[in-house]
Amino acid sequence: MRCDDYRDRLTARLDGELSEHDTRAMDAHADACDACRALRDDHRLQRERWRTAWRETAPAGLRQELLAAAPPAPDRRRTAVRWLPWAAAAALVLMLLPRLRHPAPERPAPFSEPCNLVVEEAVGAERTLVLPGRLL
Amino acid sequence: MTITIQDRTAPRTDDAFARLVDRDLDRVWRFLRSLVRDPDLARDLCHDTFLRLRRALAEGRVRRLEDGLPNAGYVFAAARRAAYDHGRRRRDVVPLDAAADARADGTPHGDLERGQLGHALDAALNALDDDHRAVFVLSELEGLRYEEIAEALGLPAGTVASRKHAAVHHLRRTLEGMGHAL
Repeated sequence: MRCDDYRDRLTARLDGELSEHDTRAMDAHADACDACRALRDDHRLQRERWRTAWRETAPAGLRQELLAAAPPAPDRRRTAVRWLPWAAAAALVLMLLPRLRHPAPERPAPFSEPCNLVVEEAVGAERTLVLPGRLL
Repeated sequence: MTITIQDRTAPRTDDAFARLVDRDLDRVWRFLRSLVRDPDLARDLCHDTFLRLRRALAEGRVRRLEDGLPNAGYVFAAARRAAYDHGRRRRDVVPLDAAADARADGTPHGDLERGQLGHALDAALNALDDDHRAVFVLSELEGLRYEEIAEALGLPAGTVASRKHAAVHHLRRTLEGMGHAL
């Protein structure tokens, strides 16, 4: 491992976010390299100082305010939204169930031949009737 | 005749909520203060955050529990949403200098104990953009794992890692420039 690689991954190493294999490689490099070992120790010390300086507590009384606050009413809108997909799925199943149990019979042709003739005659008669000024 | 329906989950929720407040109030407070940089607003957002968490506990909406409590990622995600919703409602930015001045004047939040490095750290954090600051605070100062931060901030873990790396180097340079090198 090169020193550049060590520096790039030092933060993740100190955060405990590297794999076991990578952690071992990093530590082996630090054991062998004075500069990188010093950098690691420097980062560790810096973090301790930052965390010490950061230790601010919440304002006095805030804890009691939170505990004394009335329990919140249930969020009915959220509850409704949570149930909506299930309700939709149930409705879909109810709609499809009869079709699955009793498939629709195959439909016959829309009209038998005599019916088609009647329709054609009717359409022809209508055309005849609407011709302006001739056969009315 | 009056029929009273007793909510059997209420005492259990109250107990879990009290433990949650004890466990997380201080760190949620620090996180929110670093996000909005105004102690009064951070206090309001703490109320909002814990109200959300209490409701989630009562409604059984917390999926991953640790010892009966929401994990850190869930808690900080609630805090972040509270701050985000507030920003969306107000559409304003807390004046950084005013908030910093208020702390320098001595707000009753333990500032006197934090010392010079605490104030320098605040100033250096204020120089970071919101995304890097949130990652830095949760990881370097509060000790959350990248996975938890990813959940809290809605980011991929790889993005958390790269932002953390950049933020640490930025903070070190800034604090060195302010005379706080090791």
